[in-house]
Amino acid sequence: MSSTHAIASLAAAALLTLAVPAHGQGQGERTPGGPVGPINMLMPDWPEMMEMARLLKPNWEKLGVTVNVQHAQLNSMVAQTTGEHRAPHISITGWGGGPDRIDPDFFLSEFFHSKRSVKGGQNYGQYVNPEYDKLVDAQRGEMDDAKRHQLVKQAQQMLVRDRPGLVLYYIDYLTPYRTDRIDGASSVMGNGTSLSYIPWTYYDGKVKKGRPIVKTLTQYDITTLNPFATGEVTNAALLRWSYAPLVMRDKNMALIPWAAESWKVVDPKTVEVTIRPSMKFSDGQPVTAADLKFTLDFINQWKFPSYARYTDNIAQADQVNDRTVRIQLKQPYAPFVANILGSAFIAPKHVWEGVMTKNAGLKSPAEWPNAEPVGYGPYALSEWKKGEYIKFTANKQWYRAPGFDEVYWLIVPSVDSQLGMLESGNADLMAWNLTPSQMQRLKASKDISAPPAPSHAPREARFNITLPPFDDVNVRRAFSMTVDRKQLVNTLLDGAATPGNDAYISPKLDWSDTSIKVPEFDLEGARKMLQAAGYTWDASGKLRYPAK
Amino acid sequence: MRVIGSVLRRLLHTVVTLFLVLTGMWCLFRLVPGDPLVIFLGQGELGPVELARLRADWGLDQPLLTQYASYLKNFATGNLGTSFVFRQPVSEILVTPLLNTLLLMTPALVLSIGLGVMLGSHLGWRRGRAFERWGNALVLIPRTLPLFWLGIIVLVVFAYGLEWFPIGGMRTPAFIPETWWQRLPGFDIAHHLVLPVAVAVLHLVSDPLLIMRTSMIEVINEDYVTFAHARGLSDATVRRIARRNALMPVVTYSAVMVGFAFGGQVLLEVVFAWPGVGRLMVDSVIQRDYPVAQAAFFLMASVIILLNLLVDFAYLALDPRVKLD
Repeated sequence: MSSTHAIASLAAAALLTLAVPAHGQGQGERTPGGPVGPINMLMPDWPEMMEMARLLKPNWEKLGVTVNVQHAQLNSMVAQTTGEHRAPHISITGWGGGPDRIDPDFFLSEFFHSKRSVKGGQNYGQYVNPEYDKLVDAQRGEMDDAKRHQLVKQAQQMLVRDRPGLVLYYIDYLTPYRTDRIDGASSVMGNGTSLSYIPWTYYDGKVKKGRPIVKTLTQYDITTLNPFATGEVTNAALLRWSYAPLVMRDKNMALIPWAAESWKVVDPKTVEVTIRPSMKFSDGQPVTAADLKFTLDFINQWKFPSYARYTDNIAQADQVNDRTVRIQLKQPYAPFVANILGSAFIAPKHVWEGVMTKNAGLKSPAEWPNAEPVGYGPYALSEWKKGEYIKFTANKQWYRAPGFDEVYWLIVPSVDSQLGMLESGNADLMAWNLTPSQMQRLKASKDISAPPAPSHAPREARFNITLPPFDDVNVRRAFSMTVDRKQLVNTLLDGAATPGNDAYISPKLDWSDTSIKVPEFDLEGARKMLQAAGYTWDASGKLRYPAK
Repeated sequence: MRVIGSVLRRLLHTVVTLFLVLTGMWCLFRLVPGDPLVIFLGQGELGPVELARLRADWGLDQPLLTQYASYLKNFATGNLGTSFVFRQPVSEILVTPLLNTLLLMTPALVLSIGLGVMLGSHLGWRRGRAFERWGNALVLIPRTLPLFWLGIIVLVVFAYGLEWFPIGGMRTPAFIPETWWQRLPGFDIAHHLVLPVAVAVLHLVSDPLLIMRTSMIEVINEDYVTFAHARGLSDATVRRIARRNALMPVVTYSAVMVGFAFGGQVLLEVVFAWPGVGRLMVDSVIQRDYPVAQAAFFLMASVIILLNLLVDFAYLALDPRVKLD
């Protein structure tokens, strides 16, 4: 009896959590004069998205179509859209903005280049345009900054012309911290005050009172201490506190030398990097160019999936002297400094070269637990109690030594508990983006502040342009014109967001083409556009395809 | 001789059940729509080539029967597989959360079953009186309130409000003991244990309590109880006799309760940020980390099955009238 009970509960649990209704089947055909079929829209099950659906649906339905809204767990949705490329008519996603996405290449290429319209790529809308591909490939290889800016502007204009997706808005990060404890907090684009990606609060901040031991709250634990193993953004970002990247973004998003002392673009395919002098690993060994060369060769040798996209382009890494490495690229790659040097770190050769021989049964060094990480950056990862906390100890030998002594990342899955802990002073920062109601609640505490910082990653609505009616650019544009972005920003986020202009580059970045304006809500204009394209409405107001 | 035969048969029965659970679970996870590796695709860093390699590495490209056979073989030798998410052996991943859950649930279960039996027997004994009517109602209240709500209210009152207890977690990082009682060994963890155990007991006590009460009511109507009264034995003694006989259903139920308590207290673990196995189970299902999910579920199922077995044997000691067949 009890075993049947167990199996039954397992079955229920498994099927309930993992069943995802099939989309992309029977989604309507383009029959001349026929009704424009129901539009299926998929979004993650976040409260913000639930509300957003209630604002988007009625406006779009004014065009004479029915919109079906489907919410799914984020992992399931990603598996379906990105993993299996079975996206429905419209997929709405909120993207995270890691530092490697500040360079325009990520959104322009990853979302819309035809090469990424394969399973695993983010071009699940299937936008395939050879003209666009050429443009984006050109900007990626253009090492002259001014010329590259031009090409990026042209790419944005092409996207707006073809409208494969809509950018609804860019959220503001509202990440709270205790002002009575932390001095010198920096709220930085794509990071706010307390996240781990561009963590200037942790690197430059000081403690006002009490012990210089800072506690930050987070919902999710990391999964590995091995810097080669993970591609997951937060895990990688935290490991970079110890395995410091060569280049970093400062508080104004400018690229600054970090583990590198300087770099030189010798020619479009050659970059020389000189690392900082007197850096030491936590086991006392000096950090040298041999370690950097070893790391780049190691990644190339093992083809770690997490780094493949970047190091695929590295042909060769040669040690020039004890602090300099010369890197040869296969092709010119404009985001090289930002993305490759911005994520490349230096692994201790004396530790990693023996990993495979000393540990039987490993298929790859990425499987080694690396339980005692040997790093060199501003913080050492000194303790990881799984599910409880991650402890970082400041490395006072770092050239820009942190003002804190220790930082604890406390893993608290319940956001309500986190809010309570922050309010009662049991924690100093919360690595969480506050919802408007949570922001209201914290406003009542005079010692808690959440200075906003813009995100460079959009909330977007992507069309599957293989599915009618979205194979017609006029319909896509009409849908863009029936989104009231200002209403979304004010209703969903109390104004803590910037409306998007459908060009997929945040207006706060200097790559943005500021001549592209945010579309105004214009129902009449949308209907006129559809009419001009041959669409009609029947007696009951339903939209019909052109009679062709 | 017959007893040994029954015992062996019972053991065989248990092994077969465990095997069926293992197989059933393995099949269920394979039947679930979607491909586990697709999660990695979704994170964007793996292309089709790397994915094919991972698939080969983990043997996911083999025919199902082969995968099943290797799973069984590995399982028999204690190799529970490698987690897709952590890329570490499952057995290592399960150990600490399991111990943390044990730390939380052992006092909770001992207290709930102990208190449940005691209070249940009192309630059953005093059937019909006001004490019993009020007792029944009071006991059902925490049982029917949602566990996470109960947990949050307890936190609001005792942790945020009165600040007698910490707001969650298993221990205080960088704890510096200040008073003499804070310096006692294990103080920090004990301090963190109080609220979650209290909430767990509030929630769990009602089941053994009510079963004990019902069982007690049946027993006190039995002839031998009337006879014991008639013989002039004291109230307390008769109650003790009755209680021992009424204990059987509670013992049976405890086996199931303990098994479910190990996997099922996710809500408690989330509200109190307790790093236990319940959270691990749910997270592994959501992330399609099959090896961890399978091992954790199997653990829960086997605890129930094995405890059931122990209960069957315990019956032999508790009640000589019971035969194993």
